[in-house]
Amino acid sequence: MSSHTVSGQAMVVLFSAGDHRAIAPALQHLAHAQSMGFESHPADAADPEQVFSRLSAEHQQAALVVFGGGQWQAGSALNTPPEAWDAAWRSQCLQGARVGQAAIQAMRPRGAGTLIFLGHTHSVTDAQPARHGPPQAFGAAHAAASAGLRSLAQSMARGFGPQGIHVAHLCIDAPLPWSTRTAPLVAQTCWALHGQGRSAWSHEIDLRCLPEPDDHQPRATI
Amino acid sequence: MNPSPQPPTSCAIVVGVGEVSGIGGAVALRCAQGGLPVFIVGRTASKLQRVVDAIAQAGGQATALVNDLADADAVERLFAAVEAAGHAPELVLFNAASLNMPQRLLPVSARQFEDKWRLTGLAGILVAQAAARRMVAQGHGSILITGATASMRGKPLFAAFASAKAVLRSFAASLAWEVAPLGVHVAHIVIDGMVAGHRARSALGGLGNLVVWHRGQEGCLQPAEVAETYWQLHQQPAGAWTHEADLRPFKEPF
Repeated sequence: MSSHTVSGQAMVVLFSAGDHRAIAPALQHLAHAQSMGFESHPADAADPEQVFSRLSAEHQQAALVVFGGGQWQAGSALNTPPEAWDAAWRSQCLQGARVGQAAIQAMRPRGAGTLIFLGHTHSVTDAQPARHGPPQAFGAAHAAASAGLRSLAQSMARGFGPQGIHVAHLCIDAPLPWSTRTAPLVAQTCWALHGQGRSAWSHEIDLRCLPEPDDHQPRATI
Repeated sequence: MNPSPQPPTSCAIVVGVGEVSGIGGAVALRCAQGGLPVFIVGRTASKLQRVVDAIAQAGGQATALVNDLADADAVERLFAAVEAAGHAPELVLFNAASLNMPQRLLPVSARQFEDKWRLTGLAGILVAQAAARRMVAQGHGSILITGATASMRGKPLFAAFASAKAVLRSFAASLAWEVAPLGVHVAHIVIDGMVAGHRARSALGGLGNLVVWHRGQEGCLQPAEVAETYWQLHQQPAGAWTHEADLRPFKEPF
């Protein structure tokens, strides 16, 4: 956990995993530029509830919470084994639900706060026919769990938007894991969503990142 | 074990059968009327027996298999039992799901999320995978998966159920894309409305019955009419397959 916190401050709290971790420095930079505190936790943090109760005890406000969980893995719908489906569900849906519930509990008394879930092009099932390549190169379990996370984001947005909590889902079209070029662009968009006035909130937006010109690493194409 | 001397006979497997008046029961009956021997799978032997009896009365052939779909082994046992009876699945329907009752989002526990996932999501993936492996080997077959309004969008009172249904829908799309070129038809059917079946009628201590009555005969999905579309999807020729169909009553807002 890296933290540069000042008591009583508005906080940006990030929960991210390997694929999304490159966003941390960019988000931290933006937070500091706005004199906000910043905390980064692993997406699979054992006890997200504890993170928010500690912040609350320190009189700090979780103003913006960002969750990007799961690890992309190649595998077809037909041949992905049960454990992999379960692991994908656990890292995205279950953990997303726990982080979201804990964040909302913390934001509810103030009636304000932004909760952003980082998703992908393949979070939207209807977008799947656009994919290319052989089935075994697709991450079917990751895609399915991402769809589950997107559904949760919708439930939370519809349930808690009227209480002043802005829940948004980003459909990001970029190879996983994110490069150091993609991550700042995503952070910038998180910031713009957090800044939206509440008469005009986005619940879901897509973000098409340009291909990496100098990228020779094998990555998931989604 | 002795190999069966006869080549296996085509059959239908309907997973998620409760009372006769439900989607599972109605599809099983429709398959039997279409000439397929049917294996019906559910958790309660007495309910399954009533469906077996109804199918027999209509001149069809049905076998009950009690299975809780708890894990991959349970699902394999189910398909092994069908094969041991000398049958090969031509149509497999996954119609099981947790009871979809409103539940406020914040108090939903990790355990409740997990229970919904295991029966509504993971079990469907395991059943469809087991079916697809066999159908790819034989080069033909239909896999139907029952979806819901909740498959398409999350609502605060149905967060855990909707999330599991969205996972299953994404899986169905991936599987359809993967196995269609191998001769296997996968279709996801979105049931958008209340089904005038036993589950709805007995919900909320019988209050559901009142709702069904209030909406009128055609204001709720009639299981037999739903089953007819499932059967027609199975009948589609390989040149024009539907991968997703929605079904809702004529006066349901959407």
